[in-house]
Amino acid sequence: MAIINYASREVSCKLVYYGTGLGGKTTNLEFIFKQLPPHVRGDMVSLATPTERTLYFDFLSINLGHVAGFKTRFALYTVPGQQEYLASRKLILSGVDGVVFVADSQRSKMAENVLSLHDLTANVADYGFNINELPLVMQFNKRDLSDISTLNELETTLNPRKCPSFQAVAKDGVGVIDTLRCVSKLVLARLA
Amino acid sequence: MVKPGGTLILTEAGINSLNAICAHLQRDTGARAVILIEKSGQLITAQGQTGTLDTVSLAALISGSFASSRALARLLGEKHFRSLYQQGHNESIFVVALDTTDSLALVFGSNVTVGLVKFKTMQALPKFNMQMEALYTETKPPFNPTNQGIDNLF
Repeated sequence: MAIINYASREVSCKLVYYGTGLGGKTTNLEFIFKQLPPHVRGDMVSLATPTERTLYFDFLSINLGHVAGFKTRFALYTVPGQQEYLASRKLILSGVDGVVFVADSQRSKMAENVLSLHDLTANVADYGFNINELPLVMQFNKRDLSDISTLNELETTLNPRKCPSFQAVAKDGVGVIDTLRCVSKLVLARLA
Repeated sequence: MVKPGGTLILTEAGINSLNAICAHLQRDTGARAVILIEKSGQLITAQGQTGTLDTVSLAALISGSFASSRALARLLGEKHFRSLYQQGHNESIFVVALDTTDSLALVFGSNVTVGLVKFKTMQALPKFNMQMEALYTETKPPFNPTNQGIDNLF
């Protein structure tokens, strides 16, 4: 839920990075954290298992500057991708303003991507909302690997809604900021 | 649970009123900080010694923790766990749900008793509930960002 504070002239929005386990959601946030100077972002909070899999969520707060006289603050969350953490994923989607779906481009991961997308749709629907009404950006990650689906296959299978999409290699930062820029714009434009 | 995509408008009068209630509770209890958290985990406001606290991250984590406890309650067949107390050696946190399912958290040191914190918080709860419910009915038109303004963010 976006908060517009007329006293402090500040807009706060919640973005969630969704997708399969080990797909690169945390890597996106880590790159953003490293890329932004300390005065425009908070500490990155990771609730991870000892093997560095996300257990509950990662969290990063960033200030992007001023729009229409308002300071803009985005709270970025990731969800745990593993199947068993369905309840956690649903909790984290509470009040979300925009979603980045991080798809793993590897051919072997296509079925998992599809499942995760269905899971997202169902979880948003449980809040009484249609996923098609929510700003959504697709990120096709791991484009540097060898056995990957073609862009056309990914678009056809995962993005029939034709949401804005980006190719990415999140570990190298490729496509990460473009994705963030796009979803931020969609979310802010929706508040108008 | 919060429907995605909504907007909470905090007017100057509304936020000033909430700040006054928070500050009063903070003085009454001697808590280090009183933090009001919107149900999706975003900070609404905080009063007290907030300069040394990362209130934005605290809000996200407290909200996550409280949301988990609510889910736990449902699994146990409870309607909800209304409050949550996390006791530390030097610092503790007491969290209580408002009627709007937003959360109110008090961070307090070992020099303050949890009994006092609970009692004073419960006393102040109706004021918080009334003010938050009023905020959710605010219809002040949201801000109007231009495309160029948004582009300039990056």
